[in-house]
Amino acid sequence: MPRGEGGEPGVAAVASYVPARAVENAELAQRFGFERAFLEEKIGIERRYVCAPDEAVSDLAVAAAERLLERERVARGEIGLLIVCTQNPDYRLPATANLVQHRLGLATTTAAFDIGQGCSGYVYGLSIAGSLMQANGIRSALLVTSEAYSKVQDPADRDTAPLFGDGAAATWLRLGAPARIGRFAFGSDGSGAEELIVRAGGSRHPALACSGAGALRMNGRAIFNFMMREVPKSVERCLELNRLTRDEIDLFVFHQASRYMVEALRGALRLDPERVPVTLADGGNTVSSTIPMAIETLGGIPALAGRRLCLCGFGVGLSWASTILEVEP
Amino acid sequence: MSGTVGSDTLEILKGILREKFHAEEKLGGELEGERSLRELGLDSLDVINFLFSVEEATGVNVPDEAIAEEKLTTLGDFARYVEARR
Repeated sequence: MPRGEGGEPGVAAVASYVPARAVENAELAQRFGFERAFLEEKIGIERRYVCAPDEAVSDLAVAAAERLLERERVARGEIGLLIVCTQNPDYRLPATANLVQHRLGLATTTAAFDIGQGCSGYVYGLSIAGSLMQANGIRSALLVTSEAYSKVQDPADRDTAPLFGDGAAATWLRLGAPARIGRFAFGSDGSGAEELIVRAGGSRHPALACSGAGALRMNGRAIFNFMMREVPKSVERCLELNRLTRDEIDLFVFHQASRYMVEALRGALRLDPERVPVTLADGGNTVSSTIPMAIETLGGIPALAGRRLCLCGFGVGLSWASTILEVEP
Repeated sequence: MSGTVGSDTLEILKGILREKFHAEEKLGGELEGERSLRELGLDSLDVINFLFSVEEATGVNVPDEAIAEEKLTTLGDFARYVEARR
């Protein structure tokens, strides 16, 4: 990226939030007859968190952002851009970003909007935020990934019950921040749209009930095949775009779909376990928040000083994106 | 399904089970074609991964419907299905 006034857009800090109610493996084992070892060792999740009935995506987003703004002592008036990434907005309209902007007390001159991406959303969001900052001279921005798949999950669906957890992550971007963002490799393939879908609630089938067409449906096998075909190619393309080799990457932070999925990718790319963190035990697959939550679990941006990360998000869409995050020593 | 299976297809499938799933070590013996994938130590996630590898290696997709309709359970069943479509 060209160097602008005040430096390039980079990641300064991340903070996350999960709702209070935890669903432990014992509960799922009892409800669905799963073996505990399968949930712990294969799925790789010990507990996932779910929203209360009166808790919505904006509540999670605000909580994560408040945590970040307070911890980093960010002056709210300096935030010029707020992007909320979610597929389960509070309302069909308006955008959740407008609600979050108001509740955080950000200036009314803030550019605020939603993006509706799933597991690729964090990487897409980094690109959009960085581009808008450069194009408009915005020095400080918030990217908030916030998701509550529990709101659209069929409680009886054993394919999705063990995987997904609700949660949000806030990422503070500013010009000259220590973690520089590289070039992006993007991907989209709508031919796989049916493989992970909530059919109702949009303009084709407006009524939404959390069963039948209103419930989340996932073809796990098709998603696995998609991941194995596209993610290694996306990583290679991202490395090429950034003129890097695999050996020059310290950590590959993949979307934490499940332990099994991350391990399968690691095998396909022939990487050592130390370079491929698995961080979903506490919280599960939080969709667009798994990558920033992984960064937080690894100790946050300060703990990653001097390291180069390859980030790759992939999933519903089908959609995928990869980039590099290079943290100054 | 019945009939003999081309040894190369069966060997490809055995190779995948050995290399990716360490099936022989887990089984403590030689892989036999008439063992079910479950007996060979594969759970539901492993089966998805196994079928992906089979498709990559042979170009033959084994759809879920075929597994149900043709009652594919043993390594030999899968090898015969793939063999017939290569």
